Amino acid sequence: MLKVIVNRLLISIVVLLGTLTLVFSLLHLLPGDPVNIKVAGNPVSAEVIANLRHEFGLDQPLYKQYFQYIGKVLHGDFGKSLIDNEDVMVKLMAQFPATISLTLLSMVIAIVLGVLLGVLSAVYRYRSLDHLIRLISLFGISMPTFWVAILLVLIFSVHWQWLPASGVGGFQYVILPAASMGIVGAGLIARMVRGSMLEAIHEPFVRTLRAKGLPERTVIYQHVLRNALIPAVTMIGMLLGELLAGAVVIESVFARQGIGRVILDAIMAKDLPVVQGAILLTASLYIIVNLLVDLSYTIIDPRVRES
Amino acid sequence: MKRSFIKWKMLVVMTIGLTVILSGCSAGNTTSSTDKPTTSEAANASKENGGELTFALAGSPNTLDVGLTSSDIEFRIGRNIFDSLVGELPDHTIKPWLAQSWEISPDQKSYTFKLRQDVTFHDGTPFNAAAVKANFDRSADPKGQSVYAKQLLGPYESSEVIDEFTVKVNFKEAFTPFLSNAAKSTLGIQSPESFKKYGDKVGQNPVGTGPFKFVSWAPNAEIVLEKNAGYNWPSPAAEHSGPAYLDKLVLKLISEEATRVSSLQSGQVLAAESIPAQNVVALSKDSRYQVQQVLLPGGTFALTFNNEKAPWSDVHLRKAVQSAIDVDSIVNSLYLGTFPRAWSALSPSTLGYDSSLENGYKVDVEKANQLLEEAGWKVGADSIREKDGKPLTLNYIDLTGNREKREDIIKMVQQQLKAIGVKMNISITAAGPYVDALKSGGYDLAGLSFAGGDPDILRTLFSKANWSTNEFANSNFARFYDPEIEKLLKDAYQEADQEKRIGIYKELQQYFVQNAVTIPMYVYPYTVASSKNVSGIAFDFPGYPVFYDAAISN
Repeated sequence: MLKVIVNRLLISIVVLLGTLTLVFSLLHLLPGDPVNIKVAGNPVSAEVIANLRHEFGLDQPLYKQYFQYIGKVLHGDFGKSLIDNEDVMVKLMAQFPATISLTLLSMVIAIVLGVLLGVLSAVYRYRSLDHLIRLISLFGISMPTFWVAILLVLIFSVHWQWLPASGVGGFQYVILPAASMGIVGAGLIARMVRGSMLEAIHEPFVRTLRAKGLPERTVIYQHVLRNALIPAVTMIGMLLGELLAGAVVIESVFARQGIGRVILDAIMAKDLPVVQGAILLTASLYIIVNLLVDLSYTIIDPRVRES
Repeated sequence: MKRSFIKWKMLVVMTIGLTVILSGCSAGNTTSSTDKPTTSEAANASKENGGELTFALAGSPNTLDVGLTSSDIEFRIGRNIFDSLVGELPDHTIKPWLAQSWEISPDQKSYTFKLRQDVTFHDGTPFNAAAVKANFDRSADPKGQSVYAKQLLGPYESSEVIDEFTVKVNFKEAFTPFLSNAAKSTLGIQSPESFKKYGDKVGQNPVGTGPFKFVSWAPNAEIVLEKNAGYNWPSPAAEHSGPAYLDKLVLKLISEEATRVSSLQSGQVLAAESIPAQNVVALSKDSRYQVQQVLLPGGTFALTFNNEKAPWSDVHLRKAVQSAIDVDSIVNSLYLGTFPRAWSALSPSTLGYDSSLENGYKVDVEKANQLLEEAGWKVGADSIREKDGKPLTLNYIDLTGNREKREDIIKMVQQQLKAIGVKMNISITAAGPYVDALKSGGYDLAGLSFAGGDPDILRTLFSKANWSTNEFANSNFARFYDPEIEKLLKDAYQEADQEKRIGIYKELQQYFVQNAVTIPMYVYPYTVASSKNVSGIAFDFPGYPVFYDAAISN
């Protein structure tokens, strides 16, 4: 077990370094110079530009910028924003809680709703409830999140005025954004759970359990579902990536604070240090969650523990 | 077996718990009573105890340092925090504000302002001649990072402190637009003490003399301002004196237009700006709301030819495109009558606007085809015109984001130009490649609007001094240069006689249309929609909202 954890941790570090390198090189390959964007549309002397380039270290050779950057990151220094001179770490940390609460709640909605619908669908397969659920999950998967979001806002904010349409604040502010993303995830999970439930339900051990006279409820929830969960849990780990990407759209639609907004604004403005910091932060989160997912296999499936 | 399921349940409960806690933290500041502004509060409120106005802004500012920035949204917020030396009324007369009076030297190069003596900044420091000098010197510093303020100060030379409340501003040459420029929030006076105290963080800690004081700023969420209780020096356009009616002004940062409108309709904000056309039509008819519109002065949105690059350097080709585009049908179908069609490079609310240009030319596809034939461009394969084996292409560049539906405009133009055998390539990109194209001049056509106050904006748009270089992108997208026009642009900003000055600007506007340097498309109306219980939102001359007279009633 310890070996598994150490192994996974080492892989995670390599993945993080790879991410850092990729982000660094991608931004240098893109056309456009951040200093020029900063002063765009204005007569500025070449001297001012040279000063700015020096201040941000953009006049150094690429490899030096790269190693300096890695060195600084290891010391927890992500640099300063090119746009407002704010410390990148401070800037990101101010926005991070909003993204975490959004992502967590949408995960919960996706998992609870997805597993519930998936199980019901499998148990009542080919009956009208199954058809209805499959239609709903197909709807969930096919609809773009921003469209679901606008629909939810029209119903719950504009029409009924139950929940706020935008902004950040208490728990009520996170419900609609999380639901918009959660519904899409729920559709994916429901289909996955249904499929693997149907596979497990035809395994010989289920026939044995039923022959043993176990109640159907126990058979389904304690044996079939447990066997069907492995692929669903893997999916949940990957879903986090989807949700973090979806946050870019949803945070804009609901005018929320969050890492997604920061990334979007920073990319548009070519604010290099902020983009690098934000991507590194979300990549770390993704890697940690997938590490947890890998470890959770050992709880769900004893066979993984023993191997 | 049971145990592990209990663990799962606990995990779910803990996650929800954590979500609740985190969403609580993420508010970023302490205001939480803004969920739904109830009218019961407003019921008792007379104008004198105004309560809290929530206003949805279209976007997020980067800084509130108006002296250094160039972005409209920052000037709009700044208008309520900073006061200016003078104010400009809609009829373009200049009235005293922080300056009680002024004298212009006979050579038009120096302005001597007598300042009010009872004004203090929000940090308690006095407003005086030294403060004015500190602000103008900072904005005009050639090595400084000032963006728009530097342009507004033009040929600025120096400021002299004559006595504590008298300041003399000197220019290297006559510069008539100065008083109008000084009225803008861009040249609003910031506390010199704040420059020292906050250094490069002034933009996050603005200190002015205005009717509202800065309280807090949660990035991407909201900016909170509160009433400056000691305020007694309102702008000349104000309707009352003393402090503002509102206790608090909360600016919600909502860049998504549909969300801005839903937030207004769900009662989360009492007012919102930049309302899309379809909602302007709907909200105007709804008895619960009112819609205010101001035509922004300065430059209109125009399709701007790269006048330097062949083949579009040929005026006949540009005239052909001018005749082929049906501007009216495009503007009316996209903006449903809420945006007026533009006829000039200048907006109708600008001093010197030439209304004789209106309806000055018609859509004439036949004439367009004839002009192209005469220039030697013959219809070739795929009905695209060719000359010397080269197809007639028009490469358009713009930024992503479809600001004000500009992408839709250009797609309609693309269709219309097919009829005269012009192939239009549309390249809509992020800032990086876009700015690179501007610097290198590698485009035939670009969309450009430049709001401003004074007609001197034409110099920003068409002077050789504002050409892009390899070093930086600049505002003369037209890459236009003509020595005679250059001279007229200069004469116009030096001319002290207003009638003569207007005459020069009319001549310039006519030239730009006659030579199809640009194709004006629409005039941008800045819109504010608000609940019926909100009154008194006013607009300063460039069209920025002013909340000094605003009040919430029943």
